[in-house]
Amino acid sequence: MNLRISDTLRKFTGIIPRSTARINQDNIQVSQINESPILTISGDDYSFRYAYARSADTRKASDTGQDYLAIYPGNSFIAFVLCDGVSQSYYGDLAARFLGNILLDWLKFYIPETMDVTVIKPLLGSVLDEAVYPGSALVDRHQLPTDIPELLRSVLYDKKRMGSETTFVCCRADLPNPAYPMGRSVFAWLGDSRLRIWDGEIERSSELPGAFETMQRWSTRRGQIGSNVHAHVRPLLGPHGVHRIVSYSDGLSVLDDNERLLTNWDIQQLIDKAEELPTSDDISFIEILFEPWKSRSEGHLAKPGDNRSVKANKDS
Amino acid sequence: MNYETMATQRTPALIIYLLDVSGSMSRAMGKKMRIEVVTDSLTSALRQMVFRSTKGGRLSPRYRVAMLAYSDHVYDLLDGVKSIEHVAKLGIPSLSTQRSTETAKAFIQAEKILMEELPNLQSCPAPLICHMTDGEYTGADPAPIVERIKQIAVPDGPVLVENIFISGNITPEPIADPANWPGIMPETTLENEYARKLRDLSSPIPDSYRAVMLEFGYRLGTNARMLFPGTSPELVSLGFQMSAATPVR
Repeated sequence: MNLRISDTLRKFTGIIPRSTARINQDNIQVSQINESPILTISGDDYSFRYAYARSADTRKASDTGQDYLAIYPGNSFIAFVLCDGVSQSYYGDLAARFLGNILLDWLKFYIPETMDVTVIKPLLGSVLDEAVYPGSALVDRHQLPTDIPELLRSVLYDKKRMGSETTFVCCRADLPNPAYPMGRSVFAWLGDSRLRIWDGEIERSSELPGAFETMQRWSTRRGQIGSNVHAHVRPLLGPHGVHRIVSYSDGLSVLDDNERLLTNWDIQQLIDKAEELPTSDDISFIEILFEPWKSRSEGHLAKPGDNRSVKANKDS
Repeated sequence: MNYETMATQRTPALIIYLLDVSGSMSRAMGKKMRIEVVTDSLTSALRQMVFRSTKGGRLSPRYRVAMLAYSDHVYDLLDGVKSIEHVAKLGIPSLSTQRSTETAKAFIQAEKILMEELPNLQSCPAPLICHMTDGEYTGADPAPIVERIKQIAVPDGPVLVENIFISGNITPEPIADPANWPGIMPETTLENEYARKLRDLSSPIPDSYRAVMLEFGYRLGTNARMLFPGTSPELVSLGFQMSAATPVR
């Protein structure tokens, strides 16, 4: 894979404001304090696009979005984590960012080299359980604003005792290599953030085992809530392969009924429309397309003339 | 018409409290006066609203509140309809007992508020009137006014009317376990004439509200009415928790 993402993004800093997507050790950490209109990054073996928008009221208050999206677009694999902080917990953005970074690190460096989900799932469960102690410490250290009404302060202290919570979807997709000749895709989730997969033009999301339930989440105080983490492993190629992965937070639930591959324009329109609704919520979105299907769908990723499409290759 | 509209900052829920502050509210309930139990429960309901409106450290006001205390007269405790953000800053007004129980006057005032607010509520959850009393009305019968109010509707559904009736036992068996209590059903035997009247005036609990109450730890049944016998501080609290159970985003 000849995708040198950080070089590419640095080259295009005129297009991507520095505050919108931060590059940290080749991770793309999408800013929680700005909007990131949809952006496509194209490589030789895979392409991906992502977007981020805070809810209308959060934007109006210049506040931090509670979704968190981070992506590692590597040469041999791509990994991402999408977290939706629970707004009724204590500063959901804290848990979302904290757990998101832990999960992305785990996907990059510590995930076991196996296709066996019964090995991967309990290890990930341990990671989630072990994250409770530092997560609790993070919440304990967090300071409340000084200029807030007493009743609000008292409610926030109650929430602090209960902890910060987030849902998540995470994924690592290894391109075909000697260890995984058909490639490998590993998915894990807890909560109602969406995860959808396609094999060619056929959606295979119903083959993902386990529920996507609102009441399932991870807490800095209690770890996994409502269920143990759900996980699924499958090859990228072959009859049960994956050519397209889409994940988004429930703020973009208008996308639920759509199975087609939409253009960047269409997706941005849906995001903008969702933000106008009274129920406007934070939105994070990522979609990954793998070769060889990419060649058939390349035209869909960006509208002609759309300057938010970045071509990455070995010459970039 | 299904009470599924979520309360948001742009479409907040309107909750109108009607609080009986007649002389009998100074009677004892456990170790406190009834009026103190009501103040505590109201405080905890407003806390619940603040809890459900908080995003990060910011109060994203998903509720608007009016609070009328009534006895011989009706007293507007908040001076109009105020956002929960405003109420959080003000704190809970203190309640003191007066004399009679002019329930009809309070509902007439609530009806006025509803009619004034109605044009702005078309995208909002159906408003809820939470009426707390500890005894039969004096003066005019409130029933015709309540029935009129229940005909007022927004696209989400007709106005909901809830009653919290502070009294001795009105059910054949005391309610020992409020968390697992199914609520007052249309067929539940009630041993008090006024309780039966209040049940007739109380709206059925919408499914969306029951789901929220389940999150609060209460298992109310499918056909339960919005009537809560306030025989103990916990049941009074349950009644006030219901007033904050509008689904929120």
